[in-house]
Amino acid sequence: MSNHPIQFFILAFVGFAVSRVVSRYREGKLQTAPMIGWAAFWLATGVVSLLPQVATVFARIVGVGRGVDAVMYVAILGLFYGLFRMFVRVEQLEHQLTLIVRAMALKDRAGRSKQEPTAPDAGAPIKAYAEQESRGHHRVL
Amino acid sequence: MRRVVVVPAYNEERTVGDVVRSLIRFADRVIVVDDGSTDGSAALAAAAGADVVSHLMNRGLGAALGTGISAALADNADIIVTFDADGQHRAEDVARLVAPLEAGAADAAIGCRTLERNGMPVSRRTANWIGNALTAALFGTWVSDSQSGLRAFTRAAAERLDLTTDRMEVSSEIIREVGRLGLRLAEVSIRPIYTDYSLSKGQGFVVGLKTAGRLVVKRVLQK
Repeated sequence: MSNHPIQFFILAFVGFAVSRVVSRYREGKLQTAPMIGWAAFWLATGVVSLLPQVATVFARIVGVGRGVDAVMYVAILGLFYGLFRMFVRVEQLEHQLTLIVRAMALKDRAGRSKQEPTAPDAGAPIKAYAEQESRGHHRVL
Repeated sequence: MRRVVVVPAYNEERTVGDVVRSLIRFADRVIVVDDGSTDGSAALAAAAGADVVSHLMNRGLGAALGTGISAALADNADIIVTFDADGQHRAEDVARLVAPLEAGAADAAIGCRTLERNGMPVSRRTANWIGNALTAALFGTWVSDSQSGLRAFTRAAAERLDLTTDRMEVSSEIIREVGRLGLRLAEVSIRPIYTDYSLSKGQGFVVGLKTAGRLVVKRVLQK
């Protein structure tokens, strides 16, 4: 079986990606389960690149037909999932920004009304966020 | 009982002053949360007698309500009322809204614009019904006007509210909280004032779709 230059490029990139996954895991920036997931994804990419017939076998199993079509469908699904995760992450960041803005607003109010019997607890929104997080409200899939 | 009204406001200089002046008679304190307005809303609200809490930047309705409720709780409120700044609510309705709470018959109240035919435009009526249906489908609690901005809570109820959304979806999130916490909810019929201005301040079609999308995501992520 002859190999094409594109396969070498893909394999080189897979090697780079796997090495990054492993190094991030060693640095403690990636937990075990995501590390296994990413490593499996890149290794599968390498296998499909070297042995395209594997994708055809997979396509037949799931009833798609051509292997390249199955790869495209999986890639599109993966992209949508990535987009969803990014949306959730952006929403989390937006809410964190809100908590900072709220804390500043309440602190400013407390400063303006020192004669008030009870000053607003400017740190309360941050504590509330920590509580929400501990209850899993801000779970990222 | 100490009654504090929270008015979230974003670029409402046309109406916020009159809204605050109308509320003074019915509240011990009016807190206007200026949500990063770029017009004179904050100054006009303060001049009208409100206690103004200002967000450095616009964060949305849910964020402003959360800030206002925190400020009201710190202000030793016994009853917290939320009231729109666009002039669509009548201050007189506040007294009717809080009556069941002050009597100990309810923990929360919502001012329903739909219990009677109040001249609500058909488009707005339809949008409200969709909001109610979506809220009920996602969170299991049906109310007659889930998107109403006129609400009231006892202190104990407000302290337990867990609001995590920053934008328009907070209206449905509040209904979710009513159901989750098992709060006794009173639905009080109110008569809204529809003007071209107040109608222009409502959620448009695109914003409504975005709100619906965020609510669905919220429900998916909810444990």
